[in-house]
Amino acid sequence: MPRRETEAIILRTYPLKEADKIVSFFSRAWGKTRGVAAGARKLKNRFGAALEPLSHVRLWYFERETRELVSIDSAELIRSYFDIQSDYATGLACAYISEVCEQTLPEREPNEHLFRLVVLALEHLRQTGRIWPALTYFDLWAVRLAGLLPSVERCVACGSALAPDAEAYFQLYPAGLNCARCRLDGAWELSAESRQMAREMLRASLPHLAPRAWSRETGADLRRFLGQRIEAHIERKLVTRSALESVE
Amino acid sequence: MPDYAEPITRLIQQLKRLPSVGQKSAERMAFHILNNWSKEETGVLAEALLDMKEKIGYCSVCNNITDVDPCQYCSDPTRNPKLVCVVQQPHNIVAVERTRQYDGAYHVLMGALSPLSGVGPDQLKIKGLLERMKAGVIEEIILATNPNVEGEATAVYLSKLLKPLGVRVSRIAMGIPVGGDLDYGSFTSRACRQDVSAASQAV
Repeated sequence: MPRRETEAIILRTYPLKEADKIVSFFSRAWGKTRGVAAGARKLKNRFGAALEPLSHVRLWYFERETRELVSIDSAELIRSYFDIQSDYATGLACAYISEVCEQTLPEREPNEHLFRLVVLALEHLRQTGRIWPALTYFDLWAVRLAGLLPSVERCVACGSALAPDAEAYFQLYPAGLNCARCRLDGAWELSAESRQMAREMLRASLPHLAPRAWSRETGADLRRFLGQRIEAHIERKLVTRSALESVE
Repeated sequence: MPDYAEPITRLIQQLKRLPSVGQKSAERMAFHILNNWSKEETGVLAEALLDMKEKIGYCSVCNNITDVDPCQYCSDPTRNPKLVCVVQQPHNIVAVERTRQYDGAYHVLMGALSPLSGVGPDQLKIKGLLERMKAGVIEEIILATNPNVEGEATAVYLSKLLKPLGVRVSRIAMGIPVGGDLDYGSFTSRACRQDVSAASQAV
């Protein structure tokens, strides 16, 4: 029964029995894992605030080959995101990040790039309090890292290059962008500005993006395009995505 | 697969639906009732279950579970109606009452903001609280939601909603409990430092 030590992001917890928790965490070294934290719901417990959602922690746990759930021994906070989640909009953004990781990550498959992306998005939320740039950047890179991002430069139907200022359209199936000539019925438009934003986000890191006046409308079409890719992949709706649409 | 007689199997299946009750516990309970309880005692249990489902409802004022409307806390003339303690679930009222330090009224939200579970402000019983505020009696609201992410988000959301209405809004303290010993606090962990710094802060 090896004792493992890893950096991790707590994705979600579920109550178990009288005072325990099932913890789903995204481990830097071993990927998404689930474990039992015994006594974690007691007032006096050895985990403190370390098992709150999206806490960046150092975890120690035991693993048995025959058991799906690991046994969490102890946790120490590296960075807490408890305070930023007390604001409803930021909390919703954090919950969205958590849900996307929980739904898209395969079990026990390390993903260093996504781990760094999650930490980057959370830090940006903490420092700026602005949810839309962080979520747009997170969505774009999460979709790309999962291998689900179609080209934003070419029409998926005829293969012609999309000019930077040309109209582009997207739909649920087939995945990808269509030019105005190949546009399908009921397709949504992805504006030239949003495509430019996507190009910029694929080149530059989140803190180094060109300053913009962000609002819910900024990049909304891009987020819809990316959100559809995630939902098509997991074959279900994201609970937090619809809630985000009501946030100003 | 070998099985018990149908009535026992049926009871075991029903008991297994209770939280924290698995096959073994359900079997133990079923056989305890079968072997040790008289028919009358079993009838009392069945009657109590039915009685609870038939008589228990929600208080029209505070959403507490009750068999009389308004509930015992809302109709008690000795309690202070200017003070309202907001809790997540009806059973939280019992926890606050156990302290024997509180004599105000209550309001039950029936949950906490939890985007991952699909619970937003519209799913909580906030409208009823705002209706109570309109009467102008309430002077202070104590937010006694759980000290976790969901509870904290709910408390901050409510405080932003209630403060402009001119009431004092406070939050239950978090940190080292009375009777605890500082020597046993894990001050090397940031979690504990955060708990300490958050203690007694108003929202």
